[in-house]
Amino acid sequence: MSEQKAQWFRDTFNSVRTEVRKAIVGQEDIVEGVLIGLAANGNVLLEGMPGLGKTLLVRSLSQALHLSFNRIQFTPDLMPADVTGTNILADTGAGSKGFEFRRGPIFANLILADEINRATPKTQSAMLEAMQERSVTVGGVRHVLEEPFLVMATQNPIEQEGTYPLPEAQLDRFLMKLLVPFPSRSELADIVTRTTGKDPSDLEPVAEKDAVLEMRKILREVPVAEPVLQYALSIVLATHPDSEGASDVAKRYIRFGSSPRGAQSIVTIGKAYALLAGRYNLAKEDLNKAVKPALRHRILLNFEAEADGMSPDRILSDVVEHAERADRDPIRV
Amino acid sequence: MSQLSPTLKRFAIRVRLVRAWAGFAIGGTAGAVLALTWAALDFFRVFYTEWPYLLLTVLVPAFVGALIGVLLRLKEKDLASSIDRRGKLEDRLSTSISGLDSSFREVQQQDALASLERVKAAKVYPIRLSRWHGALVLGGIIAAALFLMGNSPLLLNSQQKADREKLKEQAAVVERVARPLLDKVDKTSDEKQLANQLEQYRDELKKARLSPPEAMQKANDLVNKADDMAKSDYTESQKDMDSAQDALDKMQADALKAQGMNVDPNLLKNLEKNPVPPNAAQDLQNQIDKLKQQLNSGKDDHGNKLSEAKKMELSKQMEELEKELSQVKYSQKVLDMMAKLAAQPEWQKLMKMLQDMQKNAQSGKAGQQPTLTKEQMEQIKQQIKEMEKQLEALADRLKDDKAMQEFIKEMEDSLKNMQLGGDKMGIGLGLFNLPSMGVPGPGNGTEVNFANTHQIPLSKDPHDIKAKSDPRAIRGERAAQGTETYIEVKGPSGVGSKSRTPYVQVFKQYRKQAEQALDRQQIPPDQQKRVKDYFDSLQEGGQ
Repeated sequence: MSEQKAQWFRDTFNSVRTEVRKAIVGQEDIVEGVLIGLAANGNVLLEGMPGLGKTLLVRSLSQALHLSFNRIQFTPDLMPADVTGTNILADTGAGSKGFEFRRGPIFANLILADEINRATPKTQSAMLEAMQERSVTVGGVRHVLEEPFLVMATQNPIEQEGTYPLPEAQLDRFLMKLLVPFPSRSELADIVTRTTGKDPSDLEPVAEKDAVLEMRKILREVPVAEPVLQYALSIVLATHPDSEGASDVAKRYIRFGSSPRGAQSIVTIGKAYALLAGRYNLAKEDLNKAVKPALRHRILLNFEAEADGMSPDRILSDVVEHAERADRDPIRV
Repeated sequence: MSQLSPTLKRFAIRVRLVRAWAGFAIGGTAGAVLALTWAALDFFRVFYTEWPYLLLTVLVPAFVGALIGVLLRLKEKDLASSIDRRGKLEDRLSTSISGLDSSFREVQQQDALASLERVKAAKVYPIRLSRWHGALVLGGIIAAALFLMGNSPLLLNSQQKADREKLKEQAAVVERVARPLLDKVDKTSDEKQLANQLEQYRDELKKARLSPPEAMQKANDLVNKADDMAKSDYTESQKDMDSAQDALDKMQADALKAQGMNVDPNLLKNLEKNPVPPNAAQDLQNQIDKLKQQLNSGKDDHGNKLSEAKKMELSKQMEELEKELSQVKYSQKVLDMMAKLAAQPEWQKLMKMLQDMQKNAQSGKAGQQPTLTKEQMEQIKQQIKEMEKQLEALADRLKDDKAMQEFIKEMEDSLKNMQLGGDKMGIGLGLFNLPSMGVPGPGNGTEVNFANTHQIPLSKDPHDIKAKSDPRAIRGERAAQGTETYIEVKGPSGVGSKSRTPYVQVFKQYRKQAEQALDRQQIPPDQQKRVKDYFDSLQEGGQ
C-alpha cells in the first residue's frame, strides 16, 4: 500500500511536471522546485531576470493542477489592502448598505507575487500572515485562504534602486529560493519558436487540488533515521558562525545563520527528493541537494563576503563539505 | 533485532576480519618499533638480543592487535551506517534498523534488505594494505638490517670470525661457572648484582661481539668487583663475629661479676683471642686444687663461709671441669713449640708482665657466687676445645725463630695496650678460664697470653658467610707464542671459606712473584697489563 502511495506521488508529480514542460522550455530545476514547494506546502521565492517565464510557469501549473491563480505586481504604491482585500460599502439589498469584504488577489491557490521587493515593507508584511498562517485578517475578521495555497514571489536581482529588500522574517517564510537561470541557446531558440508561432494551446489539467493535498500527506510519511536527522542539524548549525560545528568559511563570511525553519525546509524538501528518487527514506544525499534552495535565503552574509564576492551558494557548498567531513564512517577500517 | 540482522552478520564477520588485519598491522608496527629499538641496542652492544626474540617482539604485539580487532565491539547501528556509506545505500539500512513508525516502514525495510543483498561484504570492506602495514614492513626490515649489521658473520674477516668462535666457547664456560650463583634462590643484593653482571658478560661472550682484549678487560673488572664484594662481605662477617664475641664476653663478665669479680670486657676479649698454652693446663689444675682446698675449708679466698648447697654444686662443677681438663691432650708439635717459646728471654719478660698484671687483677676482688650456670659450664668446655685447636694452629705458625719473635713482639704490644687500660684490665689475665672457680688460669710465671695475632677466625660453617660463589678459574685456550687467550673469572674469594692469612701479609710476596714471572715472560704479553692491573687494584683495596 505504501509502495503504491509512493508510486502515485511520483506519477502525479511527473505528470504535472510533464504537462508544465509543455509550456515551459528548460528550467527543469525551477519547475521541479516549484512543484516540490507545492507538494511540501511551502512558498517559493524565485530570483531571476525579467522575461524568464516565471509568470508562465505559475499559470501553467495552475492549469495543470486545475487551481486558481492570481498575479500581484508589487509596486511601491501597492497597499496591503490591494493584496488582502478590503471592506467596502456595498448595497446589501433591500435598500440598505453595509460593509462587505472584497477579497484581494491573495485569495487564490497559486499567487505570483511579482517583484515583491518593490513593495513597501508594510505591503510586504501583509503577505506574512497569508504565507505563514494561510489566512488574512481584515477589519478584525480573519479570512482563511483556500488550500492548497502557494505564494511564488519573484525578485529581480538587478535594478535594486528603489526596492525594499525583504526582511529576514519574511524571507524565512519561503520554503525555498530558486534562482532562475538564463536559458541556454537551444532553450532560447525553442522559446522564441514557440512564442512567435501559432498560439500555444492551453494545458490540460492532470490533477486536482485534492491530489496536491494528498501529496503533502504522503510527503510527511517519509521516515527519517536519526543519523540523517543529525546530519541535517549539523548542516544548519554549520551555518552559524558562533556554533561549535561552524565551518571556517561560515565563520568568516556569515553574519547570521539559518533559522530552525531552515532545518525543517531541508528535511521537507529532502523527503520530496527521496520519493522522487524512488526511495522510502530520507538520505543524506537528499539533504545535500536541498541545502542550497532551502538555505540560500536564510543565511545573512557579512560585508567581507560581499567584498570577496562570496555568494550564499558558494558558502553553502563549503558548509555541506564541512558537514560531510564531520560525518565520519563509524567503522574505520 | 531487525530483519536486516541476519544479513548484517556476514558484514560483521567481514568487519572483524578487516579490523583484525588492521590491528595486526598496528600492533606489528608497534612491535617493529620495539624490535628496531632492541636491534639498535644490540648493535650498540647495550642490550643483546637474538633472532627469535626480535621476531617475537614483532609478532606478539601484531597478534594482540589482531585479537583486539576481532574482539572490538561492533554496534549494529554503526555497521548499518557504515554499509550505507560504503555501499552507497543512501541511508536505507540506518532508516530500516531505526524502526521508525511510518506507513513506509515495511516497504522501506524490504527496500533496504534488497539493497543490502546486492552489496558484497568483501567489496565494501576490502582487505588491503594500509600505511600501518607499510610501517610494519619498513620497521621490520630496518630492525632486521640493524641486527644483521651487528651479528652477521658475513661482514667479518677470518680473524674476527675465529675470535668470535673462541669467545662463544668461553661463554659456555662462564655459563657453567656462573650457573650456581645464577640459580641460587636467596641471593643478596650484592649477589644479585654480581649475577646480573655475570649474565651480561656471558651474553656478551655468547654474542661474541667483543674483541678479545675487551673480553679480558671485562673479565678483569668482574673479578675486581667479585673481590670487592668478598672484602665487603668479610668485613660484615667480621662485624657479626665481633658482635657475637662481645655477647660472649659480656656473658662471661656477668658470670665473673656474679662471683664478685669485676672484669673489663675488653680484657676478656683480648684474652679470648689468645690460645692458652699447654702449661696453662697445669695452671688450671692448680686452680682446681686451690678451689678444692677452699671447698674443704668451707671458705673462699676472702674467708667468707660457703653454704652446703654451694659446696655441693661447686664440687660437682669442679669434677666436670677436671674431667674436661684431663681430656686435653697436646701434640708433640705443640709441646715443642711451647718449650722453645718458654726458652726465649723476651717471652720470659713478657710472662713477668703478665704475672704482675694478674696480681693487680686479683687484688681487691672478692667472690660471692662461685657456682656457674649450665650454659656457662658448656661455654667453658667449648673454650677448652677451642684452646686445643688454637694451639695447634699456633704451633704451625711459629715454626721458625723469626715468626716466634714476631709473635712475642705482638704479644708484648698487646699487653702494653692492656696495661694502659688501668687496673681493671689486669684482673682478667688469669681469669680466662674462670680461675676463681678452680679452673686453671695462665698461672704463675708461665702464663701465655696471645693478642692481636691478626688471624682471621675460621668459620665452622662456610655457608654462614654471605658471598658463597666458589672461586674458580676459567682457563681458555692457551696459544703457543704470546697470543694466547686466557680468561679468568672467579667468584668472591670469601665464598665458602675464609682465607686464614690476611692478604696484606702476603700481598708483597705474591706481587713480587708475579712480577718475576712477568720478567721471565711466562705471562703472555697481552696479559701482562692485566696482571699489573690486578695487583694494583689489590693494593688499592688493601690500603
